Amino acid sequence: MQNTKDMLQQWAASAKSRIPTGRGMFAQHISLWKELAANDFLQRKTPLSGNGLPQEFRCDIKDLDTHRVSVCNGFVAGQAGRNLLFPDKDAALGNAPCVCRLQDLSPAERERLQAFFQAEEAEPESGKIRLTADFAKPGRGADTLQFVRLNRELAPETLVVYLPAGCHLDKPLQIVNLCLGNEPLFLQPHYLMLLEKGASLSLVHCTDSHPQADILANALTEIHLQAEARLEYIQMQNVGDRCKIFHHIQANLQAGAHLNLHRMTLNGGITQNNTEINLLEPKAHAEVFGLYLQDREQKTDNQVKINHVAPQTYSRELFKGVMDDSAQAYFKGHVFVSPQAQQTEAYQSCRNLLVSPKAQAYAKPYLEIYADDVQCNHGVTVGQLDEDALFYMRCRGISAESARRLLMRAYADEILKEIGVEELRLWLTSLVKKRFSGQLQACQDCILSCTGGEC
Amino acid sequence: MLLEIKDLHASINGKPILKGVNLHVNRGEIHAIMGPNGNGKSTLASVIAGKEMFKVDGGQINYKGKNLFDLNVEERACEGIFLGFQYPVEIPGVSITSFMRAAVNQQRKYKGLDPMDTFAFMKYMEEKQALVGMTDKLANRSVNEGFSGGEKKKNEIFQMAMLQPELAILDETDSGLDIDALRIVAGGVNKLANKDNAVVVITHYQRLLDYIVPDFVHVLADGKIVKTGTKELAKELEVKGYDWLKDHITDK
Ligand SMILES: Nc1ncnc2c1ncn2[C@@H]1O[C@H](COP(=O)(O)OP(=O)(O)OP(=O)(O)O)[C@@H](O)[C@H]1O
Ligand SMILES: [Mg+2]
Repeated sequence: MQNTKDMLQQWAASAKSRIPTGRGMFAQHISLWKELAANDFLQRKTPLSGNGLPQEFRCDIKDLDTHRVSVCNGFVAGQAGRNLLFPDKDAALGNAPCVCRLQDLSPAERERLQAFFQAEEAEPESGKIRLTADFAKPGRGADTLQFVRLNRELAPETLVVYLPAGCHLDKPLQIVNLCLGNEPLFLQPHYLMLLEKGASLSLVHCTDSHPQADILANALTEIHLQAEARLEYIQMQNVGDRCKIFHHIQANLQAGAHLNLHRMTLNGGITQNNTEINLLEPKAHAEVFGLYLQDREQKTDNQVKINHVAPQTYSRELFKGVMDDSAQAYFKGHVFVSPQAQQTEAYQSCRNLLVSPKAQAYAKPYLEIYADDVQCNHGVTVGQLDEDALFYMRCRGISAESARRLLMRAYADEILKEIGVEELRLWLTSLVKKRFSGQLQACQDCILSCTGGEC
Repeated sequence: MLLEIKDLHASINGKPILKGVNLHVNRGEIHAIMGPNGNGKSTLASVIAGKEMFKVDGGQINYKGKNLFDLNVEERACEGIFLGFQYPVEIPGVSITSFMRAAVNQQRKYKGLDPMDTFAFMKYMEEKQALVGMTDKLANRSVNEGFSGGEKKKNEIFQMAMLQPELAILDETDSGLDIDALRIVAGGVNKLANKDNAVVVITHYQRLLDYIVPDFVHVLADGKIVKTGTKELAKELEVKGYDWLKDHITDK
């Protein structure tokens, strides 16, 4: 076993040669390699134990009744060996739903679970998923594999979410992922989610930090949905401006499985949301929504790769961003339709609203289709606030600032209304409202900065 | 005097549009402004509302004894100026209800009043909807998005009724309306008009003036008010057109 320090040194050394070069707007401005190669990278601490970290986080989100599990700096809070949904029960992949540490499962169960998540490490030839030439070349796909490896090598703990066949949780599951620390950190949060046949779950996953925290994270969520399983996964980020969060979500869907994924970037210095979905069997159905609200010098990068490898699969992507000040946003979408994926539907759309002259947004949609009986389209727009609408609103007595906010909120609503669970939708809507009125950062009472009254 | 415009000059992109407008409006009066296309009627309305695109090159506007140019767009609205748009703007994603709640409450705040609670607001809105025959279905839609021409104009009158302005300037609110809608719109205006406020209607049609009876009719041509008369002037214009006024138009 190598020690962590040596490993990090090797990663830092190899990162230097892997920083994307190229010019133009899509020469990855945002890359984890760049962060690993940075001069101060090796000064970051990688926490080795969860000792001394808070075990419970106060969170008084109104009207949001959830099962709550906390993760802090990559460590799962809660009693060792237990099922965190039912603390009087042991962690097990039995016939009850279970949320626990991977380490708390028996070796046999661990193996059973991990078997679902090996696919992407197989050689392209032997695996089920055929990667295109472009995808296998050094580039996003190859980098992704590296970052998955990095996370697996270094993640101190893994949070497991398991639902047995046909199981529905009575209320949404909430994972609160907190980044804490007075010194610069490098974190590897890791989540494995298995929904067996016909199981269904609503999951809200918030990542928060101290406003001043200096965190670099290489987070990984791996999801496997068996036939007819349904997952609504709202991944939300609200961290300080010094945080750089790279979060890769990878999902494999079997026949008739449904994934509704929401990637909400409310705040963060650098945010990269990587999403890779494999529609492995007929009628697998994935919808990916993204909302990024950025200002100051913030940067976001949303990259989505959807592989349609079976017939009658469906995917839809809708990403929207509101960019203020000098914020920058990148979007890269890649839909791959293999020759056998006939009767596939794939829709891809990215829209940006630039509300300041210095804000920038770049979007690159890409469809790669080898089947002939398919319905696909893509669209990209970059626009500004409608001056006529602003004047019209001001003519009714609405202040310029409120009018701007009303328009921005209306823009974001199109994404929010896609959230299926009403209480989650209302909660997110109120967070977005606060984000636009600048109250989100100001909320100092609670470390999670997402509480507070009406506004 | 409610509104006093003195020798107003305004231009857009260096092109002079208003070339010395004089207009006096007292409380309790209804004025009609008529005139050929492209001669500055909407420009005058926009300058009063405060549209920054137009540059004021000279002259004065006093409103309720204040220099209007000291107030920004929203302050003018809160001071009771309402502009009914010739081309109402579509605002996707903002419902009429939330739009009006923001407007009513911001105007109340300006006046030092507490915001209306949801229940009171809904009741108030219902009342005003009835006035123009606006259905709840329409009220829940995004502002003007996909509305027919007539629905947009009715929506303007609805907003006017909600905001109870002291000075309403209605820019061609009658254009594109069928007879029934015209009656509704005119009825809405007549219900609002009283001795404490004033209405200025910009129109091309004497027909409207059968419903909204003006105290004064002005002709705005080539950036100036070239003639002012009573409602009989509108009838005369209907017969003779604007050509006979050419002598009054000095530049070119
Ligand atoms: N945004 C603009 N940019 C350039 N020119 C403009 C703009 N708005 C108005 N104008 C010009 O100003 C002049 C007056 O226009 P205005 O809209 O005030 O006319 P109007 O009297 O209201 O006409 P109508 O009866 O057709 O509504 C026109 O020549 C018009 O082309
Ligand atoms: Mg006009």
